[in-house]
Amino acid sequence: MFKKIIISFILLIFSYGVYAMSVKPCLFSGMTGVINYEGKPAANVRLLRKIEGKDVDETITDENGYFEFKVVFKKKAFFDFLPTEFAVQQIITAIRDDKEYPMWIGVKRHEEENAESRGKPLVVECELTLEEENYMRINDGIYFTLCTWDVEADPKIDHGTGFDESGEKS
Amino acid sequence: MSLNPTLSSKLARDVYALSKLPSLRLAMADLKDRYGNQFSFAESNMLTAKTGPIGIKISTAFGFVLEMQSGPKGKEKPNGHAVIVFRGTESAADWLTNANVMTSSTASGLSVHDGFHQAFKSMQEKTSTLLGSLKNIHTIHCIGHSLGGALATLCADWLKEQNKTAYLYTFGSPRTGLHPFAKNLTTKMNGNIHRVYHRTDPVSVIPIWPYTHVPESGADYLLYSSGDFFNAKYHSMAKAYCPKVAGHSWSSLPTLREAPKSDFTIMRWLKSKVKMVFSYNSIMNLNDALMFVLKQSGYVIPKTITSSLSLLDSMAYALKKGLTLAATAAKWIVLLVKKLLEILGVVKDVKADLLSKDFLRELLSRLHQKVATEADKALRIGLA
Repeated sequence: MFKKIIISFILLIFSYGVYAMSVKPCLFSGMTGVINYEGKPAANVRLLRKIEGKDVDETITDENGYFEFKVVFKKKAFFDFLPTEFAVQQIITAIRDDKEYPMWIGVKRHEEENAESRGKPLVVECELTLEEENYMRINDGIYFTLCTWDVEADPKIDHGTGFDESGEKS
Repeated sequence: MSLNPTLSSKLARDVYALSKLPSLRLAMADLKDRYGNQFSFAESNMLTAKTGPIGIKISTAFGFVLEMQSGPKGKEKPNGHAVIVFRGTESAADWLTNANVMTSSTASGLSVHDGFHQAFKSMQEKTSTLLGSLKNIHTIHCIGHSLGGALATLCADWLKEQNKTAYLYTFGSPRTGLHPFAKNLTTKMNGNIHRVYHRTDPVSVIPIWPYTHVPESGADYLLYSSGDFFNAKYHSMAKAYCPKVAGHSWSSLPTLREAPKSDFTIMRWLKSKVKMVFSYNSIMNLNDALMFVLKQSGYVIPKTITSSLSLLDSMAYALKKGLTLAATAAKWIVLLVKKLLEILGVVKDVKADLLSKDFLRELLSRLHQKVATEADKALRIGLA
């Protein structure tokens, strides 16, 4: 029994190693969702997506306000930036009747796919007429958006007064 | 009074995301949510710097200056503390800068890594204006991770040269300056340096000797990491440093300083036939052997380095002199050269009288390059 536990533990460590080696940094997870305008699905809304280090790509909502953006990974390139500390700017601008809306301004801080939604598929519902952006911190990332999605925000870490009150090196 | 590990590590982590937000309004909204009313932005508080080799200078936001709005328990407000937070390495351009081993002199007249120094100098004027605009500030806390740690170190040195009260907090920092700089800053800071690192963080071993970490003596904070091989995950501010120090006070973090190796241990390593691999122990052995052999050759690290005699020139010159003048030193120089050739993957017979100054210089240059590229490679594994 004990042997079995040890073997499965070793296998677990080993498989984690393989997993860690195979993670491709994800710059922006695949996103699907619905764009609303005054509470109703908005068709023909142009969505421009700008990911740091990448060209702009775009999509358009269908008659149900539905859209899809595919996942974007970091490509290997000689002069590409090396994410030694991963932090990627993500911006999606929605354009409806020539008016621009800042639908998504984010900084992704973990390289895993779907880090924006803690591993679940990123499915959003957005309201262009929202007066103030929703602010979320997820997996150390920051997201100012006109959207909501099924995710819990990071817990706050209490740093007290911020000073080292233990008295050492005062 | 110093900042606690939780706050200093959070700031070092948060600067990455903050500096990526496209507007000050959003950055302020984020800061307010994170830190309540503990900080206020100084006006136009973004620091920018140019990094990269000649011809490919890339301008990026590198940090923030924040004024603290509240103090330690029982202290009146406003408390006169400000923090300056530097962002770390992120682009390939930064890494090319890091691989450059040219030195230049700081305000204290001592030699530091030229790449770090140029990056700091490009934001020095702005920093000066920002700090000058803060009223009644008596203490400045300099914080940074990775290259940001090197920038924070240079900032602390610059502030001390102006007789300001400064504290320094670095996480996974490279070695910023040569030994005389490290020793001088350690003395000037009088214990107000908090260096946090992992053995297996590849950035913490570059550049090699005579580059030296601060503090040069006394306590530093070595966090646990498994094994001897470098791993990118131990360099991560968000995933490795931040979670490990959260909730600690400086006195509850381990303060293990590795004891310096005896000459006997170094000599035994130089004579050994152990295969060189790019691991913490190998690099530290190499680092110590370099220090030992150069000292045997009568080498004294120059306090200032002129353009006509670079750091590598001065080292190569000392080794050459050691080969011709001191028989005891020559033996160790030959053994060191053999080790260096092995690391560089060159199979070559080594004869003392055939080692020219130019050859030794080239060897040292390639060694620095090799350590930098291996560290870079270690950072890419698992990420690319």
